[in-house]
Amino acid sequence: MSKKVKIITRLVDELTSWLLNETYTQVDVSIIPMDEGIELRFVHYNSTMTDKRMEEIRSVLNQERQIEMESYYWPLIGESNDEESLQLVGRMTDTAVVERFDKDVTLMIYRKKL
Amino acid sequence: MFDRFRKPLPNRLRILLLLFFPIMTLMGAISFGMSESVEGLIKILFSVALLTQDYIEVGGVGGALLNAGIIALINIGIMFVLNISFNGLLMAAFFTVFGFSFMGMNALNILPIYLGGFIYSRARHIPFRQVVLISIFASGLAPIVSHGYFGFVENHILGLLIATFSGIIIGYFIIPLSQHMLRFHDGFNLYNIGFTSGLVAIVYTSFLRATKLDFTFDSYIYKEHSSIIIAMVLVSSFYMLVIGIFSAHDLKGRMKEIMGRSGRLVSDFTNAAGLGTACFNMGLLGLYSMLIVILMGGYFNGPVLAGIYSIIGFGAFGKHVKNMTPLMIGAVLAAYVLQLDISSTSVVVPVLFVTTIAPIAGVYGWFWGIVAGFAHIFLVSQFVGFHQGMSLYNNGFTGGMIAGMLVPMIESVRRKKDE
Repeated sequence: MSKKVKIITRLVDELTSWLLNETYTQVDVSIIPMDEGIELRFVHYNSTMTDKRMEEIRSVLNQERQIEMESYYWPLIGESNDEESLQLVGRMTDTAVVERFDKDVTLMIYRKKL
Repeated sequence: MFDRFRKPLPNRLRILLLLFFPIMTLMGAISFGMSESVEGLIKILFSVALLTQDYIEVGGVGGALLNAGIIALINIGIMFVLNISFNGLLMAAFFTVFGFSFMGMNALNILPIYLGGFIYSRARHIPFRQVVLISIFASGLAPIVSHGYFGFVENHILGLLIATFSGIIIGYFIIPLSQHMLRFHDGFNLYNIGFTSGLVAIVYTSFLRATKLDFTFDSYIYKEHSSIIIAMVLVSSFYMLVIGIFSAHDLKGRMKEIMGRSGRLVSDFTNAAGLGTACFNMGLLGLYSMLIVILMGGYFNGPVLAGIYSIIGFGAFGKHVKNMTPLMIGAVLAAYVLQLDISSTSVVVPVLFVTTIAPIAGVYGWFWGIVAGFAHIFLVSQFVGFHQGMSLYNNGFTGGMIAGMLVPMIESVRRKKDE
């Protein structure tokens, strides 16, 4: 498996586990390769995530991408499912959107090709 | 009042904030007399560079300060040119190497390792900036480079070639190895390269033993109180505190945020609480470490400086008073149980470095932190024999072993409770 694919599967693992830890309900995952990068979309049904929590997650995930951090620590993604791992996801991705539609929460992250 | 200082600086200007440290050490070296300091530096450059070679003892205070200043300038230069993101990882790398430039690292034995990292980046078609911090941390294997120079042949040119070649090989392979080893301890050992370096050094030493090329060495540890060295640590800590006070927003609230973190990799406090607060935490940990050394009656020598500066550096990347203290208590308790001289460098140093596994206390609480600290003292002095000081990060290696074994044990107990 190439490193690119490993990183994507780890990101999916990390965010899926994290959402299930928040509320143990159905999660749909879409992996959408694009010309300039890749989008990962998670729809978390019947989520109990509060607005405050959503704002926290938005802020953790929308950090400046740092390749130095990514190239050293990416193997840790998908291991702990805690706030520190989410920080690392934020360092490895370019933009994140967290939105609520009725009872469902949609989380989208975008990772540009370098 | 301090609002105008709170505007974010461009990345390269932030890197230049670190220039304070080489300026401070170079001024210290000049105060000892340049000729004496240069003479000391030459002794350092051409000495064996093992774990127990205290550069303050080998080259005098002036020589050690000059060596530290040169290494700091080299690293700042690399970080500046490559425009490395000024984050917790950068601070941890800079201060760790700054500390170890008083024990085992010098300009001659670290550069081949950096070159290996550079060749790796070319071979993998990635920018050097992606891996340069790993290369900087990897200079913990500098003793192998020095050994390449001194250990096999008497011809200096041939020795230099062997040393450069071994440095390049280490610098190249430490990058994939360090990434691979992370999963052994799952981010509970902050000195991950320490763990990797320990394994590499054990393999290297075992080859030497198998081919009857192993060696014996004398230990040089500085056992005096140098006011200039104590002042340097004090000034370093206050410098970080002042940056923190002047630049942090809501210092009290954000320090609380830092204290609430487990410290497990990747805990970048510059991101979680802001650069100013991270600097304040670093300064605070510098003073805290000094206090520990003074209370234990230890000397401020090369190995102790390495311990203190590593703590200062990781004050931006996982360590805080709350997750460090249980480990230190456990380590001191073990020293009492083993009836060790609490003021000896061989005890003071692991009490400082045991904080490499601070995340264990951060995640699992005080009890497990004390247990981990207790175990560390029992193991650290035994593990050094495996690699004979060929890795400067013996505590990082021990910490990795403890984290890798203890965490699944703790988890099994906790899982039982959860179920």
